[in-house]
Order: sequence, then structure tokens, then C-alpha cells
Amino acid sequence: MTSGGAGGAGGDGGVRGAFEAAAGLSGGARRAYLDSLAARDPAVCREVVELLAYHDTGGGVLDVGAAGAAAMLTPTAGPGAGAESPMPERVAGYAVIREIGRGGMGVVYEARQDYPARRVALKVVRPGMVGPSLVRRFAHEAETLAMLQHPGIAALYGAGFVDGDHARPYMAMELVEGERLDVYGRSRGYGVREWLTLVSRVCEAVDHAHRRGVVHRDLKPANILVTGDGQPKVLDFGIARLTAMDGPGGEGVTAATVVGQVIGTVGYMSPEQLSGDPGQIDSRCDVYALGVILYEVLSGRRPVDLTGLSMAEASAAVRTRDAAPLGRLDPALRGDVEAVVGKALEREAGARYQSAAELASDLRRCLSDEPVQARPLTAWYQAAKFARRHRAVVGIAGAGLAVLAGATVLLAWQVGVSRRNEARAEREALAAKDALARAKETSAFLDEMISASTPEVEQGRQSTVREMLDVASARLMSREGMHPMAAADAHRSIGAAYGSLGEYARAATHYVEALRGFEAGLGPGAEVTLGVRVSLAIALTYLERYDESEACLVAGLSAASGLDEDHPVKIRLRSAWAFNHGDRPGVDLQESYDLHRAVWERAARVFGAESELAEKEKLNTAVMATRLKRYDESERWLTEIVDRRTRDLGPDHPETLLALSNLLSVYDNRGETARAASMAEDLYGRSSRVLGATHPGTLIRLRNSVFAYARTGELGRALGLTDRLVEGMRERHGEGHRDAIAALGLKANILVALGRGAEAEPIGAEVYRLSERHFGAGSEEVFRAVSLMYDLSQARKDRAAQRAWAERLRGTPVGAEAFRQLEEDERRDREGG
Amino acid sequence: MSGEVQSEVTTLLSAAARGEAGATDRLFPLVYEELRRMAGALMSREARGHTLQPTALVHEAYVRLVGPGGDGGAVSWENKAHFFGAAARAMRRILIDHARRVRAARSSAASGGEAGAELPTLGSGVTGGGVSGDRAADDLVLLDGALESLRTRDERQHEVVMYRFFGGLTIEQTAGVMGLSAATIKNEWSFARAWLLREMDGRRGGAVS
Repeated sequence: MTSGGAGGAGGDGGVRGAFEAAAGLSGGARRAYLDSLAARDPAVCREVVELLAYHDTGGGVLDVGAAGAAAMLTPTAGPGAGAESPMPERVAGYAVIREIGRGGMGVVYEARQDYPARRVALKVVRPGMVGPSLVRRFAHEAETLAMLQHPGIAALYGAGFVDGDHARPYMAMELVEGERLDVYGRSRGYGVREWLTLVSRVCEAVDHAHRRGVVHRDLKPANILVTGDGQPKVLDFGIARLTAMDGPGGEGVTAATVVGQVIGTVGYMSPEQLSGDPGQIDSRCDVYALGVILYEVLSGRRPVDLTGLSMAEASAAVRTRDAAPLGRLDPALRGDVEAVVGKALEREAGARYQSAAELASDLRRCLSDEPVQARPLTAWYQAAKFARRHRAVVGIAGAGLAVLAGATVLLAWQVGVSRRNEARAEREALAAKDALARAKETSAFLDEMISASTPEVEQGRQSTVREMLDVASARLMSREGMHPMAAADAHRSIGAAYGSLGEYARAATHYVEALRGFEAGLGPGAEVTLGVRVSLAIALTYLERYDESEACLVAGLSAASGLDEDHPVKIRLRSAWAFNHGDRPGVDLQESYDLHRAVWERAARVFGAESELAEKEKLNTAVMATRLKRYDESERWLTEIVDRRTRDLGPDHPETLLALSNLLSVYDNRGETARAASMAEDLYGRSSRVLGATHPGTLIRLRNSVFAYARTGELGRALGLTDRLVEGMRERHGEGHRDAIAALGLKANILVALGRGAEAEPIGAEVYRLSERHFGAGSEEVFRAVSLMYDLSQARKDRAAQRAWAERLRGTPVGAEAFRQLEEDERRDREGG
Repeated sequence: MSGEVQSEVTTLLSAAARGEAGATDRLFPLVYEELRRMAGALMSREARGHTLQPTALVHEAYVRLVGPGGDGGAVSWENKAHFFGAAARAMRRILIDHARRVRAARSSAASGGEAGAELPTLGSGVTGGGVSGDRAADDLVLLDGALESLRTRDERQHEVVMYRFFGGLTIEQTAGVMGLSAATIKNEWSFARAWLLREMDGRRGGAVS
């Protein structure tokens, strides 16, 4: 063997170097590197990604070395060799009875422990499979595992080394006689409910281990046996880690025996586990695996189909592909089950359930028809849930009219009968009398709406929730003969759902209907009625219909004059009032600040300082303080809110991100543009992960990042982000949407500022074309496109074109400025030339 | 072990160290013969429980063929490098031949109806299904072919794999034998490993699941 050629990389081009660089990175840093590589050289990137997939996973035979390979060959070194494998008579304190399984890692025997006398599963690791570092930590790991005492976990009874040979650890485990989880349920014809029940019990066992710091890392149906009495038992807890060995070079290598064998397990591995970075492995990997198991038992398919894929493709597929929503495979799984499994299968660990216990809770909620955590708590959804849960109750005679009445009203607002207002109490009691009929009707309507959703509807996706809502909205509007209270309930729910999607115009339409119904049925002073007024006023404010919003609130406050200022509905009315006030242009900032602050303090006293309303008002007060340039105040409050939300909701929760976004604007306004810019991009990144790359909030933060960099003069970076902004806006809203066009215009502007006007030319033309096509002559969009074309012609010193475009702007302040600049430019041309 | 062989090995090692053409090639059959004999004994059933550790085996063979390595620096690292190179090649041939025999035995015994039967499952790495031996044999044969492709693309990486995998040397030992830094070896190994795995998968036809 001669010494190899210098340079080595040879025909690999840049692959070798890029691979080395990427292999040294993990997580986000690696993704970022690969992104930039993809932009520079997609072909190289593709190959590197493929190689990394192999780099990151167990290398099978290559990792066990020739020694391990030889050891593997040995026992099957001939036909029928398996049967004649040597079986030790005794291992430590165990008498071996028979072999019950074998694999790359070793052999499993049924054995009898001497003391206490019991049958055990004795797992003896094959020589050559274990690195020195395992030997060092073996005892410690074994102790940790022995602490796992749970009926759902096969216990570890003992561990040690065969004959004191440190190359051959053994483990004595509880001998479980049962069937594989999937086989067990299938052979008993399990339906959705049975599966959910069974898997939720597995989740509880897994959670027990997680609480003791033990992650399974290799959960799959084959590792979960169900005993004859229906008790699921998770096998091999912590064994994956215990048997993780160090390669000779010290690089951590999992004990995946042979390449092909790994692939069976890849399907249950989370993307971060596949990334090969041990630092990323935590209990959420197990949550992912549980999600795969659920998906598989419920649909009979793996979330990501790996059939026929090579190792690299399989690994890449798990990391890049989203599972088809369960509901698409089986309409019966649409809704909660689909949402719950989907949340467990999120590719980003942060978006998953953060513990197996959370997953178990949601599975139980599915079973009891309660709202699940996995779905956004829109009033619409809660109402639907309520209706379904109470369908049974509705039929029960004497179930208690008061309960039902209260529950139905809960659809609209949490409310009790006021003790102070006798007249209203009487009216509400009257209303309660036909509550039974109402509840029936509301639930029937909502059910109909749910079943009316088309097969394409995927829960949790805004666009399709939207479709469902539109159907519901249209039907409700045209429906006649519905009980007025039931109709009002439904209007309110649909209004709230539109509101949560940011569709305030439609929300307002439904709130108006709801208000009319409740006002007639319950009276203007009823809490339900007042609650609808609050929602309507907020929607109108968003729509910048400030006067209507104010009128709505004035009527509400006058109807609520009998209520104590500390009454929840009264506080909400005041909160909406402050919001309406502060949002108006030309607002008296100090007055608005005072209004918000008063509501904040009251809400903090009545509901608690960390209550939702108090914190929302604190945030609003802080925003006003920012606008009043009282940055120290706003910074302090916003930091407190960010800290509180980070602590209780997590750093990536949408509410946390919202508070951060406001904190960022404090820095920006205070002139700390660099700090703001660095935060802006980070915030964008997190929003993108949490909300999705094309969520409106994410896109706004992306745009803010572009602006922030533009302000710090880092035009290059700003430009780097604009492509994503353009793509995001187009994907979200379509290329003809005003925000998509504006993003394109922004890109052109930045290019001009960078002195790269030539590159901006075609973009400008595109902006113009799109604006004209989608908005038509005379529209604001076309006007803006024209002024962009003016800028472009100015940049290339084409005075004739500049004049032509200025003509199109004539008669407006922008036009006047355009002509002024043109004259200036021409004067400078004459002087310069 | 005859004194003749021992002296011949020593002579060849010295010749190889002087850069004499063909010395290493002539070294190979001697080392191979000795290793095969030792490995054969280890892989047979009477020696079960022992580990076929290439490093240990090669060291033992070295001592047998050349004499104790530590005797007054009589054997230079360079000599050892040639020996390890030959030994790694020998190990490769021994293992691959063995793997081929396992495969041949399997296909001649393939009439048994047990192949699809599902064994009770006992967890990570020890899942039933009787994978390891057959798969290891398949993988070794695939590795052999992939390694040949690697040699034509990048001889140095090929050499690293030979030392690391078939010679059982650590990163540091490989660095010592090849006269390169440990960091370089680590990088070469890392890339070669990924490249080989992909190549093996390609040769497998991507039909595993």
C-alpha cells in the first residue's frame, strides 16, 4: 500500500471541504451553512447533504470495525449455525434456561435468577460491541435504570460483566411475556379509542422515565409489549444509550449494527436524533417516536414512507418531509386526533409536546371530547367541542337546566347570573327555560358545520379553517327559523374565529348579528351582550373604524353603568376603550397611556398581576411608553413580560415573541439600531420556526429585519433577506398581493441604494406589471410602482424616462418632489458636464 | 513458526524500509498466512468467547514473525508501518473470504422456511429476525467493492480505512503509521466513512427496509 495522492479530494470538487466544514457543525449552524452552500453551489450541497446523512447515522459494519464484523460472522459461520450457538450454563447469579433472541448487539436468554428466585430476560452483549467509555459509565447507567419502577416499564434487575470480562456486559431484565404493541391491538381489532387509550398508557410510562432523566431513544412497537392483562410494558429503557459506544477514534457512534438494520429504526427517529448530535437528544425525541407509533397504528402507515429508500434518502426524508395529515388517510381521524399526532410529529422539537405527559393528557382529552392543547383555542373550536361533548347530555332528562343554560351561554362568554340586577336575572332565568332547545339547536348547527367541511380541509391550517368558516358563515347568514339565541351563539363563535384569523371585517359582521340577538333576548346590560360589544369594538378598531367602535363602547358602558368598576366585563370594556383610543391617528399619547395603565392596574388587582388581561394591558402601556419615548419604563416592563412568558410559556411561544418584538422596537426607537437589527433577525428566525415561514407574524418580523438592517446601513444583509421576504409573501398571499408586490419593490429599492440599479431594473418592471394587472390604473399600488420606476430611471441618469415617469405622478406631493429632483439632477448634469 | 520465516520477514521489512520495490508485496503472503492461521483458530468454535481483535492479532503476528517490537529499537516505526499495511491487507482478505463463505453457505441452505418467521423481539440491537451475521457478511462484501472504488478516487482515504478498519488501529496509531496529524486522519476517516456507506447503499440497490 502506497501513500495516497496529495490533496485527496480529487474528483470531489468542493464536496470534500464543504463536507468537512458541515460535519463540524450541528443544529442551526449546520443548517445555516448548508443554506449558504445551496445558494452558492446546489450540486455540491446536494452531495454534501447526502454524505452527511451517512455521516450522522450509525455506520453499521464500518463502526464495529473488523473485530466486530468478525464477531458477527462467527456465530452464523455455517448453515444452521444459529441453533448450535454456545449457550452459557450460568452468567453471574443466573442460570440460563434457553435462548430467546439474538441480534447484532448480543444474545438474549431466558434465565432464572438465584436470589430472589425469578425468571429474567438476560441480555448478554456480544464481545467487540462495547467501547471502553461504556465500561466506565456502565455501573452508573445501570443504577439509573434500576430506579425506573413503573408497571409500564420492564424493570432492570441487575447488570454486570460476564466473568468479570469488561468487554461483555450483561443486563438482567424483567421477563415480559406479551405481544408487540401493534400486533396486540391489530389482532384484537382495535379502533381509534382503544389505540389512544393504550398509547396514552405507554406515554405515562415513558414520562415516568423522563422525569428521572432517562430517555429511551429507541421507542418503536417492537420495543413495547402488551401482556395478557393488557398492560403495556416498554422494554430496553436507556439501553440505547447504555450500548452507545465510542468508536476507536472517540467519535460517538451508536451501536447500530448493520446499515440495513438501522433503517427499520430510522422511521421512529426524530430529525434531531438523525442529525447525529447527541446534545440534541432529549425526551422530545421519545415524544416524536410515540407520534410515529400513533400514526402507524392508527393509519397502518408510517408518517414518512421509507420503502425502497437508501439509508441517506431515508434519513433525509425524515428530516425534510411532513407526514400526510392523518385525516387525509382516514376521515375518521380528522380533527383532534390528527392535530394531536401532528403535534407529536412536529419536525422542530420546540413545536412538539414538551413531554410525554402532555401528549398523554391530550390523548385523554381526545377520548373525553375536551379541547386539546394541540389546536388553537378559538372560540369556534371550543364551541364545536362543547357541542359535541354535550350532545349526550342534552338528551338526559333532569340533567339540570341551570347547568345547561350556563354552559350554553359559556359559548359566548363566561358568565353567571348577576345577583344585583333582579330584572335581568329574571330574564336570564326565562332564557334558561328554553336552554335545552337552544343547546340542541346550537350543537346541531355546529355539528353540521363540522361535517360540512370538505375533505381537503386540514385542521390547524389557517387557509382551510378559513374555508370551513366561510361555509359556516354563509349558511348561518341564510338560515331561517333558528332560535334567536342559538343563532346569536353561533354568530359570536364564528365572529371570534374570524377575529383570531385577523379577518376583522367578517368578524364584525357576525358580532353585529350576535349583538342584535343577545340584546333582544337577554337585554343590553347582560354580560354576554356586553362581551360581544367588547369583541365588536376591538374588531372595528382594527378596521380603523374608530368612531363606530367608540359608539359601540359608549352604548356598552352606559348599559353597564350599574356594574362595579371591578366587574370583569367592565374591565374588558375599559380595555377595549383604551385600545380604541390609543390606536387612533393623532392620539393624545399621554391620555392613552393613562387609560391603559389604569386598566392594567385594575386588572392586576382583580385578576392577578400575571393574568392574561393584566399582562396584555401592561404590554399596551409599555407600547404607549415607547411612543412617549419613555424607553426606560417600557424596556423594564417589556423585559418583565418577556421573562415571565419565557419562563412560563417558553422562549419560542408566540406570545413571548410578540413581547420581544415590542422590546425590539424600544431599542430601535432609542437609536440602538445594531442591537435591534441583530435581535430582529433572531426573532424572525424563531418566529419562522414556531409559526411557520409564511405566517403573517413571521413575515412582518422578516420585513422588520430588512428595515432594521437597512437602517444600520447593512444593505447587503438586508438584501440577503429580501428574497425570502418576496418568496414568503408570494407563497402566503400570491404574487399579486399588495404585500408581495411591496416586498419586491423593497428589494428594488435596496438594490438602488446599493448602487446596483441595473439589477433592480427588471424587478421594477415586474412590480409595475403586477401592480397594473392586479390593481389597475389609478390604484395606490400602481402609483407606488410608478414612483419606483422614477427612482430607477433617476439611478441610471435617464432624464427623459425620469421626466416621463414624473409626469405620471403629476398633481401629487410625490410628483412635485419628483419634478423638483429632476430639475436638480438636470442642473447638476449641466454643471458637471 | 520457523526461524527462516522470521528472518525472511525481517529482511523484507528492512528492504521495504529502504524503499526496495516489491518488498512489501512479498511481505504480504507471509503475514497473511500467519494471520489466517491465527484468525482461523479464533473464529472456530473452540475459541468462542475470544475476540478477534485485529490490533491484538497483528501485534501477536508481528511478535511471531519479527520478534518482540521493543528490543532496543531494532524495529523502527517505519518497519512497523509496512508490516501493518501488509497485515491490514491480510485481514481484509481473511475477513472478506470468510464473509463470502458465509454467504455461500447461506444461499445453499436457503431452502429452509424460517427466513420470514418473526422472532420475539427483545429490543434495541437485539431485535429478533436473525440479522447480524448474514447482514455483516453482505456488508463486508459490499464494503470490499466500495473500498476498491475509493482506492481509485482517493488512495490516501483508502489507506486510512485499511489501517483503521482492517488494521484495527486508532486515529492516533494510524497517524503515527502514515506520518500525518491525527486531525487529518480523523477528517479523512470521517469523509471516507460517509462516502463508503453511501457507496455501499448504492451497491445494495437501495432495497433495504
